[in-house]
Amino acid sequence: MKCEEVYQWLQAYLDTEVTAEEERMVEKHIRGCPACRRRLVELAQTINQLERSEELTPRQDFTRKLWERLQQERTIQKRG
Amino acid sequence: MRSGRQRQISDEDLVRQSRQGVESAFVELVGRYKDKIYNLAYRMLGNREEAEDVAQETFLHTFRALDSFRVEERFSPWIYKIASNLCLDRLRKYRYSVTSLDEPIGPDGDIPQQVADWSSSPDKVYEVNELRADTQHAISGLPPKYKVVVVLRHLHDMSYDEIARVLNIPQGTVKTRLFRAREILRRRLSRLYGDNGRGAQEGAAIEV
Repeated sequence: MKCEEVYQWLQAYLDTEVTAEEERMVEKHIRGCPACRRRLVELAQTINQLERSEELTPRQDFTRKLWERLQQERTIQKRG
Repeated sequence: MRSGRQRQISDEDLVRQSRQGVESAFVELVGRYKDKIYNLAYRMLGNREEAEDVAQETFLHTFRALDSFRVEERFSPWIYKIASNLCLDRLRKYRYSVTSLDEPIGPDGDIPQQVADWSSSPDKVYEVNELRADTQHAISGLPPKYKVVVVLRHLHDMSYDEIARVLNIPQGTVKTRLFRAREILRRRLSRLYGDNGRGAQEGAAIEV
């Protein structure tokens, strides 16, 4: 099997969105292909990097501000 | 403190209550989703002010559209859909004025470009914050339709199927966009870690 063909299974493999058969196919290929093995490791690093991003929180007055806007809208609706 | 009982109410039940005018039910929904929606918007837009603005808009839209929500469906994909569309709309509007790769980056656009330029000094030991900045920078350089898939998958832990439903596109398209986006990021990170673009040559044959 060619690397180009295995590539999309390699990606889905990392997302655990492959069937058992596809999983075996990927594992068989990477055992014998250093280039794909390297690519797999790099993709895993990329994903790891993405998922390490820190979580942020909105400002404390977020809900209060939202509520004010909603009340305003309602008042306008009522008048209309 | 909320009681345990309150926490067990489903999102969909909260929508039903909100429709009947129970204000606290909508406040509860906002509480459950504001961080998620804000983070989605921040990753998409790369700026705290804009993220806050889009998150507010998302809840306003949600509130206005409560009556059109189909109660047999799940709330979560619905609000993500609203938020994603608002982000994509905004990015579309800015398409001609923003050149994201050359823009200053960081929470408020306050990190100068050279800090995040991963190709300039591959041997440099990067600080954690700089690596984070690089991640954000990497995402911000992606085309919006790729970026949204990456963000939903890796920062919101969604399956291909969930992403397909949020974005209203086929699963095959989700996969294509996600795989291409990650290939672009892999090549950039590979350069960052000092591989001198070897990965780029390998990857070139794949990205059609």
